[in-house]
Amino acid sequence: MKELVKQQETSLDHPLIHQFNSSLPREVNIYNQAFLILDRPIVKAQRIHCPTEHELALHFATTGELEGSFTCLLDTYKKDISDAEKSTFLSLYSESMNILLGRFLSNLDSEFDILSALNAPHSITRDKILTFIKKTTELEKYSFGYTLISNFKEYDCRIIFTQKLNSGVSNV
Amino acid sequence: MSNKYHILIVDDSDFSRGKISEMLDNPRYNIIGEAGNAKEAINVLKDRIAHICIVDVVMPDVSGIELAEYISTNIKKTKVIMISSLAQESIVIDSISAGASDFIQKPFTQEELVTSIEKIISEIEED
Repeated sequence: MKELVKQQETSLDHPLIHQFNSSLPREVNIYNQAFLILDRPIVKAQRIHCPTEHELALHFATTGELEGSFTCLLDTYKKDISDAEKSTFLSLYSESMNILLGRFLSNLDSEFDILSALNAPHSITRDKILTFIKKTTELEKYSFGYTLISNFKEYDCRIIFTQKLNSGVSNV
Repeated sequence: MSNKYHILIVDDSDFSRGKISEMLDNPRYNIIGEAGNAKEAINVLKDRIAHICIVDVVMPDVSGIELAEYISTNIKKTKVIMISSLAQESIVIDSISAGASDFIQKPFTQEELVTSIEKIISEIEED
């Protein structure tokens, strides 16, 4: 228990946590086709949990003061997305994450003068994520979560931000 | 006022292109094509005349800002509206410096998009 409290204190005391959480949009309406609702605020993560085979992964690289990447993992377990729906759903998911992260980075700039750019998203396989996770020991790791609501279904989406140690604004 | 204005949509997101196309379903506008990247957009513009290009800033390979610069230098009659989920001041300034006539942050409403287009059409009609 003591260790858990210590871990939480470490997570919440990190200098960027306040700026990050203050910049995260609480809700985003994606053209009335989907809604994103903040589910879990950002915490500094000790490790990244391996993705399940039901999670759809997207990767966005960032440049500028927050140099690193966002990995979005949307859980589709028991959601029954048909093959016909899959392509449309993936496109909606990808644009939803693009809009969410764009808003987040824009807020970070306007509120805290932390300027970063977002690259175009690309899908990545589970194997590539597993390889990526192995390399993250040398990265700062943050995790947060949103619920994506579309077509009367709710999807849990965890987002991991990894940043190079001692890069950009990590030492503020 | 019976002129039909030709519009090209350039965005790497299928979903976004579809939404924009849906928002512009109006007899006044003619969507001449949709392009998923700058290269495809330039190919369309070689064959077709567009009065307005709606261009996403963040795209793979060639960015929307580079495309806006190409269009404003080489196809002077085509006006550009930049769209992006990122709306930092520096990106807006870069977009306008590249020759874009307007900038809209995603997600936008149909009203915001149509207002921007109509503002540009008024400028075209005045010329």
